[in-house]
Amino acid sequence: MDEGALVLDVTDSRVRAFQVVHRPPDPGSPPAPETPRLIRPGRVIRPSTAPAAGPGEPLVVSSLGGAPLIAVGGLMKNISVDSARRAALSAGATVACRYALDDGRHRHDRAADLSARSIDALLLAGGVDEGLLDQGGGRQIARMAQDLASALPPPRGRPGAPLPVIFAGSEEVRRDLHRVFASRVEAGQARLSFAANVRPDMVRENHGETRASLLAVFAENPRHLVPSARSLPAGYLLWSAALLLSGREALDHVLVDLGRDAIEIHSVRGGVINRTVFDNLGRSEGSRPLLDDVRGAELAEWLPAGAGVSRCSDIAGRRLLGPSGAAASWSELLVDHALLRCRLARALADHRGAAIELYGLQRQRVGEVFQYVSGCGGESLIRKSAFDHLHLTGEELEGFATPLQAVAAAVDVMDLGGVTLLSVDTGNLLRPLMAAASEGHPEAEGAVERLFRPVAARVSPVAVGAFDRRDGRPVAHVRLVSTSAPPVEASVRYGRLDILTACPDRPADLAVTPAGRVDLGAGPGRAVRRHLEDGVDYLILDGRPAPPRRPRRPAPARALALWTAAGAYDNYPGDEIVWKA
Amino acid sequence: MEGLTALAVSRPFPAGSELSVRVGDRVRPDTVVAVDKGLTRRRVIKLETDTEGVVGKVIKNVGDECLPGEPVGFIEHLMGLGYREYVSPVAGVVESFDRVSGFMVIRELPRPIQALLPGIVTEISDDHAVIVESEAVVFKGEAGAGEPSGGRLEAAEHAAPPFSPAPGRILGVPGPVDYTFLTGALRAGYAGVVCGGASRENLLRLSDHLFGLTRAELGARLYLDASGQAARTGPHDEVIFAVVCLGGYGERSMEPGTWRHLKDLHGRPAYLDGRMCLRGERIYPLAAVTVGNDD
Repeated sequence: MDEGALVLDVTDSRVRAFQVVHRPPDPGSPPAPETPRLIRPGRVIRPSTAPAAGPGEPLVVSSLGGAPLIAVGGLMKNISVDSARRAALSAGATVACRYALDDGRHRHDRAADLSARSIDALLLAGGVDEGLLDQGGGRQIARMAQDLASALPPPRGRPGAPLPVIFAGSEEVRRDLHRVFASRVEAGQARLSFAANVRPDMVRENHGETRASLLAVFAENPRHLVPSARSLPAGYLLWSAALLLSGREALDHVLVDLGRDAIEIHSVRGGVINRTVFDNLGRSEGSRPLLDDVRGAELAEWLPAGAGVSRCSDIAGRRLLGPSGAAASWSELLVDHALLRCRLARALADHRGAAIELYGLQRQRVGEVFQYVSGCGGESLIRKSAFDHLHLTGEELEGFATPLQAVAAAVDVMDLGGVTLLSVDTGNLLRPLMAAASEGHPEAEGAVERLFRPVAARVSPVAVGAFDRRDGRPVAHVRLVSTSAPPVEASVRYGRLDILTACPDRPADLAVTPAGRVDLGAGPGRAVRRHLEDGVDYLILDGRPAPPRRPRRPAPARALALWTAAGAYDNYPGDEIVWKA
Repeated sequence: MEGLTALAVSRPFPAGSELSVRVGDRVRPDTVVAVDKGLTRRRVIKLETDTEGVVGKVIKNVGDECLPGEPVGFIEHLMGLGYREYVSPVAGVVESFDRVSGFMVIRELPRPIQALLPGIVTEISDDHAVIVESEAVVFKGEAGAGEPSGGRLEAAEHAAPPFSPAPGRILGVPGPVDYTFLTGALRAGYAGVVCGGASRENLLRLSDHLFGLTRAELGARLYLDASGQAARTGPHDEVIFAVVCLGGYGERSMEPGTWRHLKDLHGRPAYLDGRMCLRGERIYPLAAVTVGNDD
């Protein structure tokens, strides 16, 4: 990629343009990488030492119209279909629907479902390349393909164009697939291509060629075409970012992209990544449009007591429909934050469900070794122990006055325990930086690794014995030590939430000692230590019992009151936060 | 006339439908543009099976017609003390039955697809839709619910339930409406309501209530004679009732100028589409009142 090249970050609500520049090193001093500058409308900002070369080919990062929507079909839902689904997710796509011979549906139901869908491509898989098809197993794949071929919809937004169909299954049945789709191809309703088997045998997955095929489908979609530019789906870049961030620290982490129209969650554990997409418009599998699904009662859980259910539902409806922009009143602001918590809670529940599916699959295969051991991530999520790090990025961050408020939203819906570092991409630069990194920009990868500001370290017990479950009882002792600041010591108290100012921008060591047999993620009674190389702005001592084990959820007023008391909303006007009628 | 625009409405039909119109044909609101043969509307019932096939007795054979709720098979067990029945979920014809797997496929009865507004057929599109164009005054909604419907506009400033029977009409009121108002209009046979505003919770509640309900079932629930609510659908067709809120969610009213405009169009054929999301894309509800001479 040329230095000074243009990166366009496109969402449904806006286009941002960036110019990635690099400051040449002074002789005798190490290079100082320049972070990308935001281009203001009508003006290009260049540092005075910018290289003479002008902008090269632009690169487009797009989530316009949501992620690429893919329908996935195969033989067995927990084998070929699941592998194909993961391959699609790794390409930044959203899986709109899945079809398998063992999905419990009749062939007519599958065909009717597919014909009513609005998708960008169909991905088929099936058949292990071990000669098993010699006994006629290929007929099943051909039959599934026949059912789906009879109901092919046109590609989304392009009636009359052929639907891309990618077969990433056994090579032995490619001839059969040619035959099945021949009439459709001839009629201009389908464009058939092949990729390497996503599941060549029972213990291996192979996503590379399928991913490349899906990226190519995305790039040629007129919706994303920009003259002389290369387009990449935002989800693919976020997936790459999640792997990049995990590689540097070798810690398990979660990357959450809080988009206006969709929330993407990438969890990485042991180098293995899970990705899920929760879409506002119900485009992802099994979801409904948020406008039709989120009711006032659910929203009211995150709002002060006395908030009229009907009224907050109306405000939520208007905010979901209206153009994006800052809230114009306290009511809108609180509903915005409540809506984000609802969405994030659902997205996390989705992610856990997907991970549990994978974990269940792993448990069925006791004794076998998976090369692609995605069940590991599921195990962590199921045990609800901490991921070491949670990264927040995305458009919705701009709706918060401070990074701490964004962290507050994540902490409210997380029911993970242990010690978690919460970092925020305060400038929402991850997508354009990853685009530059994907094109080989020399400094972009390093910039991504330094992008997230460590805002808070959250300490919360994973499990608390019955004896310790008394309001205010200390369940853990926390000590934060930095060489250039006095140590911070405090206790995590059951049922309470405290926020302490910590050691911003200075390396620090965090030691958490549980009381008695309290589990902080390392096992009952075991202390946890973390070295925070970049320091942290706040310590969040969260002793609130995690859902769903709460016997009764705290009253909404109390939940919000805990945050206002903890100072999370200090940057707002000095008026007390009340629900204004 | 102020606000007049050429409105193109898409009337989709599933694959396998029989077209009844051609490009250039003039249509009325009740003109059938296509007949959905039911080839994509199949319901599958899974009867209980054992190693030897279906358990119990199957009443309906391939080719037999059945009504919603009509038994298609039953099982007696525990020497007659236990009884389990399988019923058809829809009005249709038994298309196939597999004794080994227990799958019985019922194809729904043909369903006419009407134009819903007067105009001219300008296109039969590649994605299976008849495009009807008409000159109309279009009012863009900010919120809504319900599938497209049509009827003659009845602009009534002070309308309130209980309503007189008004099958096949669209009720227009300038102010906000509540759940009682909407169900009252539904009970009276209105095909839809265009109003100032409605609470989102009420619209969601109405959608939940009407989801998948046929007119016969609605009539049974509201203690009405379903045949009297014919409008443009049959008793076994789903209830269609659209709501378009020009002011949006909440206690909103139309702009006075908008209401005056709507009142001037009283008695004209109207088309309502209350959908907010179509195939994963955001759309805005709309109310359109046609003004051509061909209604």
